[in-house]
Amino acid sequence: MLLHLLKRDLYKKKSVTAILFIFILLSTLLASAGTNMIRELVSSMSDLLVKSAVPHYVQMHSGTLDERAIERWASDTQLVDMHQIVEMVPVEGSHLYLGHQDTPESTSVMDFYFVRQNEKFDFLLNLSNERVEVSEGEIAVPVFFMQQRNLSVGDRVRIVHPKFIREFTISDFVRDAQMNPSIIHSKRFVIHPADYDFLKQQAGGVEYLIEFRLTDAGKLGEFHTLYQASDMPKVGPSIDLNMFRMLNALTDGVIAVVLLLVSLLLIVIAMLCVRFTLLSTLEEDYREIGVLKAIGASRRHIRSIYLVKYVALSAAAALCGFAASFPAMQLMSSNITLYLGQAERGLLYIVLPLFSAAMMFGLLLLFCTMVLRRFHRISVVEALRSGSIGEAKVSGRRWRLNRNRLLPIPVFLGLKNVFQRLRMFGLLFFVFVASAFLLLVPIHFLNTIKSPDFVSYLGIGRSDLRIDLQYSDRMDERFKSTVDAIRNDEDVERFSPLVTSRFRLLNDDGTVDQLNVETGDFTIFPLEYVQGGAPIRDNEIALSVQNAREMERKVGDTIRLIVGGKEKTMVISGIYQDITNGGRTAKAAIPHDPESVLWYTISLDLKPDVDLQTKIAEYEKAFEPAKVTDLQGYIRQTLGQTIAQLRNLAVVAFFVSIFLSMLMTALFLSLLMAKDRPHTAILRSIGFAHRHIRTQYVTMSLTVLIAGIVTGTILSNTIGQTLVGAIWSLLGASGIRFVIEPVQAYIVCPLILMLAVVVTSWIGTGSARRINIAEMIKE
Amino acid sequence: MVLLEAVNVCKTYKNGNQETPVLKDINLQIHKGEFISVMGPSGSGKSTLLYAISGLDRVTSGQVLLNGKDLTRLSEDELASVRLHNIGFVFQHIHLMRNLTLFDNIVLSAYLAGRQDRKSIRQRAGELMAMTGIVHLADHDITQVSGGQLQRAAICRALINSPDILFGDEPTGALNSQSAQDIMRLLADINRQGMTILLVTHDPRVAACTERVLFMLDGRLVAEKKLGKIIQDNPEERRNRENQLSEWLVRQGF
Repeated sequence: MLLHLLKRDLYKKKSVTAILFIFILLSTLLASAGTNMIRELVSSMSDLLVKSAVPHYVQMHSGTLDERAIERWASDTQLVDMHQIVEMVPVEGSHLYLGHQDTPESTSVMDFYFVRQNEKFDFLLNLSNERVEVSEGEIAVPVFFMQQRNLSVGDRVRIVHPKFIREFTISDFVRDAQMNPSIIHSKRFVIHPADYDFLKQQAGGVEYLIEFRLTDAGKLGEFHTLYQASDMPKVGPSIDLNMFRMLNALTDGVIAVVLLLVSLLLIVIAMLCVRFTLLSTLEEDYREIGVLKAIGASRRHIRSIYLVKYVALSAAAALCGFAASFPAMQLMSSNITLYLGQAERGLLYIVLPLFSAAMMFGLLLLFCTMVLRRFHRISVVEALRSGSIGEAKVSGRRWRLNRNRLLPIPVFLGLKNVFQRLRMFGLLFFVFVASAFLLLVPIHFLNTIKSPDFVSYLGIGRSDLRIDLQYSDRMDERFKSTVDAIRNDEDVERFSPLVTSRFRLLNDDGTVDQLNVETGDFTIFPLEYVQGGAPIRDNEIALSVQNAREMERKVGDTIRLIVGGKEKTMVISGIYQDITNGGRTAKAAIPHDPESVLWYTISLDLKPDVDLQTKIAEYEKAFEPAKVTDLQGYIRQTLGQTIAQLRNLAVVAFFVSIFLSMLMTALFLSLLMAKDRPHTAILRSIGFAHRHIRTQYVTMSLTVLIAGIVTGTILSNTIGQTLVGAIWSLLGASGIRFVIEPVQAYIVCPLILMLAVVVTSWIGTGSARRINIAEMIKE
Repeated sequence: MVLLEAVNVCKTYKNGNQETPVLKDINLQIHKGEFISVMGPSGSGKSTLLYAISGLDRVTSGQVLLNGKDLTRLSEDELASVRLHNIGFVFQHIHLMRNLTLFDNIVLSAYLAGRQDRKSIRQRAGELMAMTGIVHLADHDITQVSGGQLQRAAICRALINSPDILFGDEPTGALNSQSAQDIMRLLADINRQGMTILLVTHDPRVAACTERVLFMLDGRLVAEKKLGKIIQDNPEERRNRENQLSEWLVRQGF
């Protein structure tokens, strides 16, 4: 009996059933894939961290170094389990050619370091997560470049240095637990010790990673304070295990969370669809339910008739979604596999997605049971007498046809229908709001991140060009000569030399920390401040959001720095956003400390008629090995991977939201038309043509869509911005403000959505032609 | 002058392989200004005939000519236009739009047709409502008035575009006897003003108000009784007509 009813119902409502099936399938697929992706990310990352024996604490250092002093300090410090000093030979991008590229990597923002495989820990792994071993003349290249430059084993890497030329054959690729993500600007290439010695000798100048593994990784904070307070070398940023974890998980973690959020959204839509379908079925079968009750069928029995369909449908869809999640996960986790490797999958590989699918299934069933409680309210007599649940009473006196002067009659009736049945259209409205939100937020964010104004989140002012000088021999001298050359260049409109050096910071509790402070004149290329303004007087300092948060300081508060050997109280003049250097930077108009310079930068604007690219080429040649980048290029390279992923996300979101809108419009209209068949038959009987009926439905969906787009746009500009801001605040940008392209956001996207919905409505209402007037209203 | 003609009209319902003929070779001529009723036992095909020749349903074979135009050859849109401009229909269960007031229900199809300006439409609606005695109910919701009043509004709606012919499917079937009598009186008045009317009914008292009664049996028109127009609407004449008709119906086995 139940099977017979099920078959009949499925046959009768093929399209509605199919759409519901798709929704449940998609939501279970995304939930299963999302949870599995998180599992994969966590297990692969911990596998990589374990196999590479990642250091717990790393201090980068440029300049001279006393190895014995470090060894003494390490053996005296109980927290240190092991330590090592890793030497790295920096190679200028302008000297490096990767694969088949004809041009060197001079425009790259990455720093290229050539290293040997480590002996004790911090192993650089290959794509099988085994230690990379290379022979003489071979090189193992970071996976970042394998992906970016499309490299493969056997390709060449050339160093064309003024003093020598060296060519390597790529024998492997490197997974580097420390420096994998694109947001980290240092990348390590592994070469044979003999080649390393040659390079070190020829290229001259090495940089160091002073690495520690602790006896208790939980005491990182304590160790950090201890190290920074010591006289150990520290000309360079320090980074720790938590940071490695966060940076490695960031990109894919965000995607997994987005997948889970979308799956939740889909399941909510599926639940609303189920509610709407169930209530429509209930409406249709009201009289039959009355008859069943009249002949003594129990509530439970009647309920099971209706529930069985949804149990079967949800179970089948959830199972398919669960099964489909595995190939989908394979696709989505390719980035994880590439950068982090693949850990042993174990039982959780099956159990976690199964649990997610079961959760979705359970949620739906619970919801169905709740909706079906309405059966309790159906009275036998009422059902038999009226044969209809009846909608909320609608008045004809609101929206009088007689007072309508402008609108064509079908359009007017469509509008009237929407405004008199707002509750019913709520489902469609919700979906349209979600679609508009889903469509607009990634586009807004992509435009924001691509916009030249995004530099304000990178802690730098807006300028045409930027010249970066990293630590090297006679750097101070070179910097001065560069500044002089720029001063004398007639093509330069204005420029601002800035020096970042390390200062000692006295904490309230008496301990000492280090603070990277950029010094110079910050009024030439002004920065946007979240609070306050630029440091102008020599006792003023501006802090990055992250630093201000960690130091618990606000504008007007003070911090104590050691400047020129003396304690100096600095007043915080402003707080700005910065996602570079771990988000921990500061700016002050004080003289820099020549002993602890980290890097030099010169920002400059060219005169209007000067060609930017020609100037870049000229400066690259003149100031070699300085890095010369235009602002757009700087953003592109710093956030290139994020922009690329965001672009993919925006494209996917675009199609998903269009698909979602079309699917829901089709589903909703098919249910609505079934419900409105008698109403349509009356209109047809008095002379409404098929196109009039269609226009009425198109008007309804378009009205709800417009309301949905307006609401979705407002929400994406407010809540969307807050959401994106919340994610980015982890990196140090607290107040992301969307850069909105009005034509794209307010005209093109809504028009595409409208077109999709109008076409779907027009096609979807084609079945109105099949309504037989006589059958519907024959007495 | 022949206004509507059915030529060899057949209608068959199909259910899988099973075919059920409902109308069999119907031939019928309706002249302009006639007031006709169709009677017959349940399932004889009265309503099906009405829907088939009024353009609300398609025939399986045969021709339906309205003013010489063959409705069976028209497209859906052309047929909708015929329903809008040339035909009025009154149903047993009234079928007014629930979310419109009485007045809006009446003017709806005229506004859609757009042949007259809104002022003229409103004026005509006012005249029709005055004629049917519901002018005071113009702004009421349809849930606020009686069945008889609703049927009057439905008649106004059917007449608003000045159709060539008015069809009625048991127009008094859902009304009490007083309301039914009032509606029939109204229809007779409308007919006197020149409107051609074809009704389906099972009530001899209703059929007695019409000038020609057709009798259907098993999908065929089997007999016809001419009663002539009502000359004086008094109880005696009505009784006479009812008696004549009853005797005739008995002879038909009704």
